[in-house]
Amino acid sequence: MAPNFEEAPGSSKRLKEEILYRFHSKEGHEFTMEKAAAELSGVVKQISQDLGIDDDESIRNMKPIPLINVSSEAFHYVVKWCEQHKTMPPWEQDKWWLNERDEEMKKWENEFLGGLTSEQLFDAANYMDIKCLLDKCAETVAGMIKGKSVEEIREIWELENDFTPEEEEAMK
Amino acid sequence: MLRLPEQLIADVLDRLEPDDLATLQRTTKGFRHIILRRGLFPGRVRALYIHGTAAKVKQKKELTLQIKKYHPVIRRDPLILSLPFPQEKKMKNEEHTRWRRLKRNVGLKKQRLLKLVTRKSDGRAMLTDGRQLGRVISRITHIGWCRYSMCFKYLFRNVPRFLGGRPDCFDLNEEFSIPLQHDFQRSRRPREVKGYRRQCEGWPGKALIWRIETRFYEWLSEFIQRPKESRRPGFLYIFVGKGSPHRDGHDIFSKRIQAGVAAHLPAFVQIDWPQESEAVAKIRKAFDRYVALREQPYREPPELHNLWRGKYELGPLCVCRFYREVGRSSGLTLMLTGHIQQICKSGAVGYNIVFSLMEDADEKQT
Repeated sequence: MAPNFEEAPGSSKRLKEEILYRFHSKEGHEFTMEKAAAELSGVVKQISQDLGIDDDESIRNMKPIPLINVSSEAFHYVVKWCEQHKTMPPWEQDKWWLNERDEEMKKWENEFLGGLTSEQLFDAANYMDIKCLLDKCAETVAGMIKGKSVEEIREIWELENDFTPEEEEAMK
Repeated sequence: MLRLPEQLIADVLDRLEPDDLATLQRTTKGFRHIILRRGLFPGRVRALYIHGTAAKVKQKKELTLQIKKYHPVIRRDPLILSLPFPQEKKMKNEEHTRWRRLKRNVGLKKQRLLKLVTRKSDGRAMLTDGRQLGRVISRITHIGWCRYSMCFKYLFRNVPRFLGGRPDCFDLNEEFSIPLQHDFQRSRRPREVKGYRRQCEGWPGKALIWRIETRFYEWLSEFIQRPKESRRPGFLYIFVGKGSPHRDGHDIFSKRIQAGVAAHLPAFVQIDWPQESEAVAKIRKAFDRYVALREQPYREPPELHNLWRGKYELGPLCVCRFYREVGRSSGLTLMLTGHIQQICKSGAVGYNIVFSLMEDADEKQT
């Protein structure tokens, strides 16, 4: 079932006292995200920097950031992820994941991404440059490959075998 | 149909084991192309073999960490890995002998060392019995007839860090100041070697290995510090002699070359007491392969089993000469070297580092 974006954690109905970034999804829905959560995104950080937005008031007055490649559904999940991780220290290759997450967080992440194979989410994470989410997505996708046979991988992702029998034989 | 951002694909591939990469490349041409393009030849090299005297292990360990940054295949693999080698069974016996000697010479209590190792290891190298300990020791210390006391003094102090900890900083130049080189050169050959002395007369073994490795790692250190775009990660390594797995340390060098070099290099050719024509033919063949590969960098090499990571462009050429009976092989080696240099000059190789190290002091370096 598609999420109700009006009631979603990132919807614009949130409290006005919070410092919120506003976003427009591909479909035109408006979302908000708390400053700490939004700044997990490299794109948001970059935009703020480019526009010289460095105080809370400027963020409040800022126009919604258009995310032309991010669907509402994907953004909904992105918001959930970022809200959950907003208190984490800045992402750094390897260290972040190894040292900073507690078991509870790992469990939450696994549940969050466990049922998702949404390419839209991967695209959104990539487009918004959310390193920690990308890293987790990579881990999830790798987990879907590990230990599987060729046929199983093809089945999972509905891949078409484009090798000729001769080529397949040569690869063995 | 799966469609993933390129960066994500790269991250996913980095996380896969060679076996999984091997499977994935057989699913579609697209995956195969990506995997080959990235040089992730499945089932090939996993890590540097941590091997050598204790002091060198430290360097290698740290070097491994550096190398891991640039080699996705080994990035997530264990730090300590062995490559299979034919004399495995023999080595086990030797480990046992070595262990007895160790106890006698150093007076080290097995339990004490064991405790030390297990307490601090990170799980991957967790040791539960003496046999495993011996295996680790064989990787940490010199397999040949090294000075146990010195190695183990070092080992004893540093094993926890080798196995569990990670260095905070890495300064290759400092690492290569090599305080032990002096020691090696001056050190008296251990008593145990006497019986073997005849066979390796004139072989200042470790000093030579040290020199060769130092040269190699000097190059490597420079290599890994280059800007990414100018890095050419493969080169052909031709290794003449000292390939036979004897117990005196020659095999160590060979294995080191095989493992350590293989982690970085697309291939090496090992020639152990060949006939001249055979050696030349082998080298010629290797060159031909590499030149062909350079022309077609994204295609799988024709004989993958002979190449370690063969898709790379042809890089520097390293030639080590290393032999024990100068009279028997000097002609061969000189001829080979001349042949190789000729090929280098002909422009078949992009750029080259040719060096030649010989055990006999009377011979000059070429």
